[in-house]
Amino acid sequence: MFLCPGEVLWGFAGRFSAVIYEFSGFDVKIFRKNVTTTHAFRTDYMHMHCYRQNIHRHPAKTILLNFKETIMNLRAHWITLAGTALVLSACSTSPQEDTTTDIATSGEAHTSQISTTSTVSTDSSVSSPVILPGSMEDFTLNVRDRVYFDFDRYDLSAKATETLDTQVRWLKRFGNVRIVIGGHADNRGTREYNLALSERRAQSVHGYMVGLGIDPDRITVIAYGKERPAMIGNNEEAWQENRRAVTKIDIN
Amino acid sequence: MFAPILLAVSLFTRSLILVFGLMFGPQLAQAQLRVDITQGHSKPLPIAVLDFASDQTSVTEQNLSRSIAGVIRNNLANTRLFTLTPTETMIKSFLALDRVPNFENWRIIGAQAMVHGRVEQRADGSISVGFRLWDSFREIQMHASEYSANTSAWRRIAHIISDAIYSRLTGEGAYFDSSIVYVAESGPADMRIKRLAIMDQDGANHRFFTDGSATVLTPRFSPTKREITYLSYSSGVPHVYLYDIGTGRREILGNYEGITFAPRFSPDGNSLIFSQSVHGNSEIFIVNLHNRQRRRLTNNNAIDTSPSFSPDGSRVAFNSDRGGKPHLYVMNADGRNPARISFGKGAYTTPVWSPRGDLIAFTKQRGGKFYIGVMRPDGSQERLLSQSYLEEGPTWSPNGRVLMFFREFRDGSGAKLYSVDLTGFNLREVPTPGDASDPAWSPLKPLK
Repeated sequence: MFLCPGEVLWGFAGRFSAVIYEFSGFDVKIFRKNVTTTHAFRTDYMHMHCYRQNIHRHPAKTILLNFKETIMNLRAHWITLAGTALVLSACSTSPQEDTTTDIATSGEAHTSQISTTSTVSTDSSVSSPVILPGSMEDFTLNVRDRVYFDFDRYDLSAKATETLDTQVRWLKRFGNVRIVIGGHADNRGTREYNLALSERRAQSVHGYMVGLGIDPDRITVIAYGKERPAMIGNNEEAWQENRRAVTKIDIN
Repeated sequence: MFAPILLAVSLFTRSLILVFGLMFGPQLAQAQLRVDITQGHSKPLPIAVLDFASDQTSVTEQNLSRSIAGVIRNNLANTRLFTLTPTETMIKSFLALDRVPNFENWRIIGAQAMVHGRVEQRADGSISVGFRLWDSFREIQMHASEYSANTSAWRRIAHIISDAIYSRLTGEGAYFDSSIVYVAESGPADMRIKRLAIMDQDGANHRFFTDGSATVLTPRFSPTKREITYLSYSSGVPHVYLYDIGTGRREILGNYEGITFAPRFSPDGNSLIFSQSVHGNSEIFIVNLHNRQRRRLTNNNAIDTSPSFSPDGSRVAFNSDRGGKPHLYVMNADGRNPARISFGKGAYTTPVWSPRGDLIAFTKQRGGKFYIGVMRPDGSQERLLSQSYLEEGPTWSPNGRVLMFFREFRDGSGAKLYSVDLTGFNLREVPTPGDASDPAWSPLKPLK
């Protein structure tokens, strides 16, 4: 199995989604904010979750394990949703068929939600039909999924609460969606202290959301300490990027 | 000339090792050969460790001899308290166990201490290993023992002999016959695969306990059983688990709200002390492992974590930011009388009480650097032993003379284990098959 054009590659360095544009090689082509950049495919992209277009989730492993075998001699070209053309030639299964099957079994794929949402297509160049409202892709693309913290702090900044306000609005729109809040710390602290600190950060987000009326039963909190950096690096930029709490749709 | 006296000392382990002491006259003199290990830079003691079999014996015995003497030499050399006399400079590389050395020959090549031994394979497949330690200047025997075991236990015998030599010459407790449990790391930095692994103190007998499907952290040995406690994300949320090394049985500590982490056994092995964080407030709890009754020891809005019992079980050192920054505190084992003990600049975390009770090791973070240090339990006499870009998590050798910890590197290369003497000398990397973090030193293996 290969990456199919139209598949949404979610969580690129944790920051945005990408839809496979073309699968023919070993570079990663990213089109974002009207700029196309090409990166060499890195093995640490392996963990990215991958979602098939219009469909619910696909565990990244299925696809990326196959990647492992082909990575050395293939070049993959990916482009974001802003891409205009979806080249379907490399795909062995028809996305249309998959769409039908999976939507039928997906509890989140109510037509009513599709008609009520206006969060998709905020950018005119985005090809809106591929994103299911209330889905993780929808959330990731249309709502900022994370807030940042200062060193050894867990209080929410004004910018953070602004982000959380948009998350709360989204969560109120899709009242059946459950979420996981993951708290994280940079590596400038010891493991156990950072576990406690990251739990505090996630709980700051949890408390804020519950304060705005989100049912606490919809929220799971996980403390990751310094185990899952969003940015690999030993500099202020990476540390700031890693001191965060990330909201994800609970796919379980 | 001399009459060997056979002393039955004890019967040991499930592998049925018999321990005998062999005594030669003349007896010990008052002024003893001694390595002063309180001075890390003191001159290493030259010692000759001969082979344990002559070239007249069987190939099996010669191989065992090479292996056993090799482990002993390696153990002693790694301490840097000893320099091993090269075998090429020795007039003879084997001396029968019932012979008294010609001390003059050993003095000439500067070997102040000299070890010779014998390995014998018996008809039933077991082996018998005896050795003698001599002071070649005073011409006295300092120690002699003989051990029997299954052939497969040869490595343990080598460690036990190393311990006997080390203890006799330094006056310190033994530590070579011990294990390290640690977290073996692989994979990309933002998705590390972390597996529990165990190995002998010198890196031998390496094996994995978990398959890497769930991230595991911070393992610790039980002081009394072949059991480990650690943190695992196997349920998705971090919780404390117990692992029985013998049976491979895994068990979650309890069905607790929030997250549980930072587990350690009590010195009697009957309880576990750990942190539980619920709604952003982590507290320290103690749970009785027999009836699973749980008691809270801290009650504070701050982060309270990384608890560590004093060896007598009367007090608990822990980490808290109740004063604004992470610092070290000590409280009674029932949670009363918490008092801050660290007052230096920077952040102090991961207090670990020495098995001798006299010191608390810690991680310190200041000015972009991490340090491993020790202080008295009252916070006095802080000494920093090691520093680097990122290092943390000290664990004590069973005799309280060596600290192991792990380092990460600014260039992003993987974590590695390091050890350093309490003196701050002999900093060295502990070899592991791959990247490694969160080491925990076992107690000495039991001699039953």
